[in-house]
Amino acid sequence: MLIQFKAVSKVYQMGEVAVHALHQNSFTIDSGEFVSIVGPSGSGKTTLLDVIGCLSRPTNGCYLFKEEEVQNLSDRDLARIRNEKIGFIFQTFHLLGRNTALANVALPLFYAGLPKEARMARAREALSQVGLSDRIHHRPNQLSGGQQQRVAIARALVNNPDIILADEPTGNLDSKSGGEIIELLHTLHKHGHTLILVTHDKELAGLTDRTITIKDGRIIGSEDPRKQMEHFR
Amino acid sequence: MNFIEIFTDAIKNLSSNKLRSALTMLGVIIGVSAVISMSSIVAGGERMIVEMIEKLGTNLLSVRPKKMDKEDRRNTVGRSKGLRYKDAEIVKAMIPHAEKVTPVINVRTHLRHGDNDRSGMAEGVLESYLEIQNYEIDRGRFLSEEDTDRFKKVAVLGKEIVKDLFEEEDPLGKDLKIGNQRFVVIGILKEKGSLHGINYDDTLLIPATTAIKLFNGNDKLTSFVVKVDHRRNMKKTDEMIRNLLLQRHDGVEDFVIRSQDQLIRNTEMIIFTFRVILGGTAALSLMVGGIGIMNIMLVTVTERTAEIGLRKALGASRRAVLAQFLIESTAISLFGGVIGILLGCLMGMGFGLLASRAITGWNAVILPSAVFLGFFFAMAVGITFGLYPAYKAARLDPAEALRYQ
Repeated sequence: MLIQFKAVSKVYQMGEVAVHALHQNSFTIDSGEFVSIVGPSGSGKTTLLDVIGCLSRPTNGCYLFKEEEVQNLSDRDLARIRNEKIGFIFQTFHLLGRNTALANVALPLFYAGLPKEARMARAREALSQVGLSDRIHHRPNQLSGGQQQRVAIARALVNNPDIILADEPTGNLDSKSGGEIIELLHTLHKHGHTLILVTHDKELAGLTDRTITIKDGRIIGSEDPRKQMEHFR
Repeated sequence: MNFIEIFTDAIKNLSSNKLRSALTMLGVIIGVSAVISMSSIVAGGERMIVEMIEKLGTNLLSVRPKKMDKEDRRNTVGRSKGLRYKDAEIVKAMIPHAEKVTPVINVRTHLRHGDNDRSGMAEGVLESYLEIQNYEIDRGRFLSEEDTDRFKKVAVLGKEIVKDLFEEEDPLGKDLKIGNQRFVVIGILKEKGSLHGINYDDTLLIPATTAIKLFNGNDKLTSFVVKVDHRRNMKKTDEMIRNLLLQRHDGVEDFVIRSQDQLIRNTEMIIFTFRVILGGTAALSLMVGGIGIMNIMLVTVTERTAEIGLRKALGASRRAVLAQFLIESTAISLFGGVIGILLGCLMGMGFGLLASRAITGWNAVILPSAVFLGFFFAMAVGITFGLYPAYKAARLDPAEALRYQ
């Protein structure tokens, strides 16, 4: 078991008002799964992704990531987990515009403390995995949207993470390059990577092994995709 | 963590926004160059004054008659004969640290050579005067023991007197009328300049004995000058001369003893005051530069919130983010400091050029200590004022920062 949520809640204090972004959610994700998280905007799926990705701690409940109780970890330990065990892919790519594709991909390894040669070698390898070997010295503004997202995927892969979290990875792309990105994610899954895809695109969600549906901060379904479709009908 | 890589990254960031970085550096540049140029000009002035004082001689005691009011004179009538030639001789003989002594007898009179004449002052002195007052002979010779013993009518001239009376003519061996006495010029003094309103080249020296015999009729002294063997014995010697003279003058203190030491100390005070004022101004401008850095770093942190969020998501610890922004602000002050040093040296030399036109001998002296201090303070300012913005960046919540628009 890679990820286990036990009655996890997340509450934001907005002045006087407490906003319950997550409400006593329990579920598990195993290694090798390709899971999608769907839900309307404001449903709490981003918060859920933040908690899974160790970007924020749960307010209540227990979150076990590889047997570690995340809610009790220090900021420094969370940074270490994000660095070593989690890869992020974002809707807006989040590449550093000043840096080349290679430097962008190598960035997580810098924080891991690897020497420069090792970083560059692994970054090159990751870029070749996403089919961008010929673009390593290009800057983001010299690349198409689809290529930029592939650089971001290479960056998520470079530290050999236990899990890759993709937040609306096709949201800023046309359907053709979006399709290529999804294809790439499936390839990664086939190679044994664990992936979580956050999306509001049910078609995309339908292509994953399992779909977790969230609404108003509560998980209302964690099912096989076909049954999931019925649920929405 | 690799500081060199963070540093090169910081430079990349700074050069991607050149105008802003340059303007931010400007505060530091102005501060550092102010420190260096100001201190160089003050140091130059200090060196000039100290050199001048040293030229005049640093361990001198000068003994003069004290101006006494009527009351004092009535009370002491008949007890003391005032400062006499013998006083100087006794001091030379009795006081162990009095290395050299010369009496000085001023004769205010009329000077003439050919058609040129002017009023002036002849000083009757001994041969030791040359060394005591740090004069040097340009041409000819100085007064000798023989001149003194034989009451010779010979004179040694400063450049100013030569210029006024002889113009282009070579004065050596020529006649010079002092009052209505005919003297022969035997030597010319090297130029010495002026200090505190006294022109040391407007000097005419004759043997003390000649001055007494021809002009004064008695051996009353204008003053006498004692060269003390070492500066540390000044106070002691001062005290001993006072006691000796009091004894000889029947307890009447009709003389005053002055030292060059006082002059040096006063000058040092003035220079110290300048230092404090200019140093304070420069420090203030560095402070303002620091505030500029802080301001820009706060803007930078806000602008780059999403980047900070990303770096944190990729595993950057608080320390790594803190280091990144701190190194960036330090880089600003580092470059500002280096440019400020170069500019400050140039400005100091420029000021020195202007100052040397106004006052001969006043040049800029660029002190290594000022360069080091300026640089050190620039770095300190960069770190101090970069700390808060960097701390702010390090404290950002990764999830919020990532989605900051």
